[in-house]
Amino acid sequence: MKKILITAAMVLFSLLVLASCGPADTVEEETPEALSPKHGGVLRTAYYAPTNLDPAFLSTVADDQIGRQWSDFLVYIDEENQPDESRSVAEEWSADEAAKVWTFKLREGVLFHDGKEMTSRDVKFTFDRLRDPDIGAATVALYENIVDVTTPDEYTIVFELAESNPDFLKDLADYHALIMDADNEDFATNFNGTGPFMIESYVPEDRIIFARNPNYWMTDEEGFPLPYLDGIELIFLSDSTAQIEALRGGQIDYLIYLPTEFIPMLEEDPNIVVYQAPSNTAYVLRMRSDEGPAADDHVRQAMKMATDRSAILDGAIDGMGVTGRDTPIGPAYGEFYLDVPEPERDVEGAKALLAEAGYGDGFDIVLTTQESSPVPAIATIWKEQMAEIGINVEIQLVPSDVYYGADNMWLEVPFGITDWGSRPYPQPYLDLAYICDAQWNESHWCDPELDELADAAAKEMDHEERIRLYHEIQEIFMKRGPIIIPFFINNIWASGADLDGFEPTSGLGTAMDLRPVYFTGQQ
Amino acid sequence: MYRYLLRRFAFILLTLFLASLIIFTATQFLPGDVAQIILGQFATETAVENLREELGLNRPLHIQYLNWAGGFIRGDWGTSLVSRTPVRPIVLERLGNSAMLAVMALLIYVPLGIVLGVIAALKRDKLPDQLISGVSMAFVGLPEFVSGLLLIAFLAIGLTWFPANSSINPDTTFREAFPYLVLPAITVSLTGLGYITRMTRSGTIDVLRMDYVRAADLKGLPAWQVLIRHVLRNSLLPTVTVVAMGIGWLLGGLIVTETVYGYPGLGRLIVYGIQRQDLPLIQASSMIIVAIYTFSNLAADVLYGLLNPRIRVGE
Repeated sequence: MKKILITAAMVLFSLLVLASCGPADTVEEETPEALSPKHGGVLRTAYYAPTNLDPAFLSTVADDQIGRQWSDFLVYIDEENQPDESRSVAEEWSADEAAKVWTFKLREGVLFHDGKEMTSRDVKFTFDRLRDPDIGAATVALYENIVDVTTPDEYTIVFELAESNPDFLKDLADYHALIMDADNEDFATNFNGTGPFMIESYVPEDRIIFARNPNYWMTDEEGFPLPYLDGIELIFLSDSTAQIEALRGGQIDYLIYLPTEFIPMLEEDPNIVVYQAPSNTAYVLRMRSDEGPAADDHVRQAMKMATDRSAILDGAIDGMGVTGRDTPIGPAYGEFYLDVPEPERDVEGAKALLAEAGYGDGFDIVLTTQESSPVPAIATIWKEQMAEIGINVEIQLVPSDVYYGADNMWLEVPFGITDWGSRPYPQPYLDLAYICDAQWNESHWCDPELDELADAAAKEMDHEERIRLYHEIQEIFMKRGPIIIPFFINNIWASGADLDGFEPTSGLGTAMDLRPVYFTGQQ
Repeated sequence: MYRYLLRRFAFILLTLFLASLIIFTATQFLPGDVAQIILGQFATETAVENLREELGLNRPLHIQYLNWAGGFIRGDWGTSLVSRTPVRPIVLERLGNSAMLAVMALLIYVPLGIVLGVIAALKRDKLPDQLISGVSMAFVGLPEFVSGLLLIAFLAIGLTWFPANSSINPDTTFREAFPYLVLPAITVSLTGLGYITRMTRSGTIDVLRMDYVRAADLKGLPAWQVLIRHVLRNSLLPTVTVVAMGIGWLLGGLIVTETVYGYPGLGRLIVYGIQRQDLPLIQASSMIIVAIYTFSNLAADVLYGLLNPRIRVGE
């Protein structure tokens, strides 16, 4: 019986392949959709509850994960941090020589879930909303450079910029930039997008259920419609242990952003596959450089010299990452990364530097530490390393929502550990946190030379020259920068052994793409 | 009796009023800002300020309290700040789920606790007593996040008898929910069991010493009749109180258990509310829990009086 079924399936499959080789553009879309053996199955997963589903105000990983299921990006940045036309709703684009005028041609026939076709009007609406200061989205500063968005026709959209921006495609792929329906009147409750999945039900304190979008525009290499999954069920569990146990118990199929302490246990489980990919996510130990002992370059340098990065990498996250060089630009950026060996720990040299700065007897500092893993572990190990050069570190534990809370503790405390997520390109780190008047200049560092280089790198159109500029910037960070980056942590996720199709994702702005994911055990 | 009940009722109202003041004040001091949490740390000041205004967070506190308390009495429990939907149906649905779990747990630990307590009393100071008393007290001291994880490891992941996670749909019926209730119910029972066992044991020991028990024994009644008709009717009185008060504890105190199992009851709802600073949700859930506590206390006292004619309150 089984044999017959398999034969039948194979015959059917070959017929389908033959059919798809037939004359293209025969307008016979009405026939029932042909699905491949990869199709079917509902993916069950769990994560912390989202805070906001309005694309303009997405802020957490959960928000981002949900948004990219029901909507699409004008430009999709792939796992290698390159724009990918085949996964974007814009099918082609071009820029003038100065990278100031960018023209995008939209795919035709991309439908919103309610059946309306997406046009340039929706795209213009999306970006006008994201840059409107009255709405106040997190992207206002990012899109400040946009002078105007125009729509010469239904499928063409033109962005005019004030200044050259070689990174503009990546700016457009910011996770808030989900294409919105221009006729939508309530973004808190109406989720009419073009994305691969449609929101079937959303209970904010319990779960969200997605159903497959049968009209989705993307196809796989054999011409079968994507996505493969029939749906997604995302349960909101506020406890990472509960998430892990649900995965081990087979009640969910997939988990993202796993804490490293659970990995060895999961790797032993034959029913679970654990994936790791390098990322640029870092826990940045930043020092206020405008007051206190760390205002002195020597002191900051001494603290870096006394830091044993490998010990922190091994001790805090079991080595699941790579050591940092105290610059925000990590190895995940390829050519932009200045590849120098990890500095040898030098306790004596550090002591000498401290003495030179007049701190021969050491001093006391308070390190504000978020309670979420692995930050306390980093703080504890670093505290011991600092003790060896006479710096007495007092660890002050605070919940993450207090650290980032209304009083903006993270921008004020003398010493703190701030987590910075991965981005598809290095420039935002500099613009957001390290130039003199950066919005989140948490270390209160101001270095005119860095400002000049960062500004030049932002606009530099010549790739080689840009690489040179970024390297120079990293040298400045190593010499006198206000941060210690012990490591960049891997992006870690896990799934049941019967799921396949994941692209190893560095997490550089690209969260998991579930469109090509499928269950292997079907039929 | 009626005057007694009336007086108790007045006290309950006073308790609820004070509780509402405390809950309202306490929620104002939660760290963080609701509007900021909803919009995320990267939203602009303008956006945050607009939302604060829209949510009425800028009004004077006493006005906010009066609005909230007045609405609560009228049955309008407010609107969730996060989902922008009325709080009452959510809280009631979750209360129903917690009740399912509570019933399940009571069915496990009350009979078991009584049986174990009686055995311990009858075999007082002998090995069975020592074993029962020792083990049940150890479970009382074991936090639910430990016992829960141990049960998951053995019964769910090791033996795969039960699901490891109980995050069922909140509107699931009791029958569908049953397999998902077993492990959380056992976890809770482990804590409750010790109290019942101890109460039953000491009550039974006291009664066994009574003359009328000896008399019943001496007049030749079979041992089981003595136990059921003469001993238990008296010795279970304190246990009844513990069970009734346990209902309050079960409906409101399951925060840890429900979080470990992801069970959609009132406990998990409160954790969610606190994480999202959803004040109306926290306030309504807390008020319900306080109300259940006070009423189950009253029920315990009334029940005690009904079962024990000796302390029936005089007219």
